[in-house]
Amino acid sequence: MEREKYILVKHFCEKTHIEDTFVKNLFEYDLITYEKQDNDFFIDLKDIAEIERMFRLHNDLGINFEGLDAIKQMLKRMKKLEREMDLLQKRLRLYE
Amino acid sequence: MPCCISFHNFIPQTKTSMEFIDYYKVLGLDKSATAADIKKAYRKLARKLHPDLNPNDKTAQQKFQQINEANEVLSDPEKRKKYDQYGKDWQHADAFEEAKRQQGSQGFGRQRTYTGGAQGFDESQFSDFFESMFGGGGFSRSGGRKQTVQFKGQDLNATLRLNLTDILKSQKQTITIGEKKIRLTIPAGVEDGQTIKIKGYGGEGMNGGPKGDLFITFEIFNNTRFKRLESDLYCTENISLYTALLGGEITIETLTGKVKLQVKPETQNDTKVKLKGKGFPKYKKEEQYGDLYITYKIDLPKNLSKKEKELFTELSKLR
Repeated sequence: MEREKYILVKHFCEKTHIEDTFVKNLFEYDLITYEKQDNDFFIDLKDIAEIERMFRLHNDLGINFEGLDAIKQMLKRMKKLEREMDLLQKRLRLYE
Repeated sequence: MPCCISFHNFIPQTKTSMEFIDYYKVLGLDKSATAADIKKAYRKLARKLHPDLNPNDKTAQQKFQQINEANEVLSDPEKRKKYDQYGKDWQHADAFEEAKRQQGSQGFGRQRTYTGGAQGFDESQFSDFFESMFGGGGFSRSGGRKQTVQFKGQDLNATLRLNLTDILKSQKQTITIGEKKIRLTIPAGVEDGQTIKIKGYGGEGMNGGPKGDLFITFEIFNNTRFKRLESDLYCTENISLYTALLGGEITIETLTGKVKLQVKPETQNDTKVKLKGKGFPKYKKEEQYGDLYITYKIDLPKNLSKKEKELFTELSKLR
């Protein structure tokens, strides 16, 4: 594991004041992946924005972990569809 | 390189003027709404308009800000009272505050309901109307746990406008944001609408959080006769009837120069030919190019002479 790419969950929670139970629940629900080393849990730095987003949705809108999972999947699909739509629009322009 | 860059936040400025804002209308309520009605209406709209659920939708982000502001005022009994009393005559709010101060009472502290940042929405952008009535002040989540959360600074968005011919080759460019100069390599073949992220060049972090990022979106203006689909280019080429029927050599202009092309005899109208590797550079693939597709359009001769008409009539009799 390349240490510089990961942050210790404990440090992340201290810095952001996000409860570690919240992060651990994200692990439980497979919403983010983690690395474990010597009983320490690490999260990938690239997942931080995603954790913050889920934390806001959880706190602001009271969305539970099942809901966060559904939203994550739907946003993923939405982005894919947007990319496809963009490509189709460009193709359509060829016939204009 | 002829280009134009413009910077803007994810959220368009809403501070246009100090117009009266009907917070009840914003939440779709009337003045008799109970605290429970307000909470319910706010939650319903927040679920619909939350910026994390509406990425890249500036209208939703703007509306989310408005409902936050409306909830901030209407869910606080004291603020609601002031709003109900002075709302439409909000210009007198200062006098009201002054009178209150003289009476030795406390001013209203401002509470913000939303803490965010990673997606770039700025919860601090309350309207001037709000500022004029309630001023600045405290920072906490109303109706929830009080907490100080470190968040990444606001992400900034910039648009860089370029011509299609500008991105035939990778270009180095220096852009200035505030006092910072950023040396940027614009890769050949970048797509129209494509966004690149420059880490740490966004707004300052909140409560010691890291700086936001700068997102540059390319707007590519097609200043050529070619249509582009990713790295492939498409164009139409007019050929004469005689070249189409008998074949021949034509010269066509590509983005990288002139190319000679053999037209096969009896070429039909709308025939498509592919010139391999004569298209657009592939993004981040050095020396790799897409293809150029040419559609032949046959020009039929006009204003036929008497002799030509006779010959075409003769030809038609042979078929």
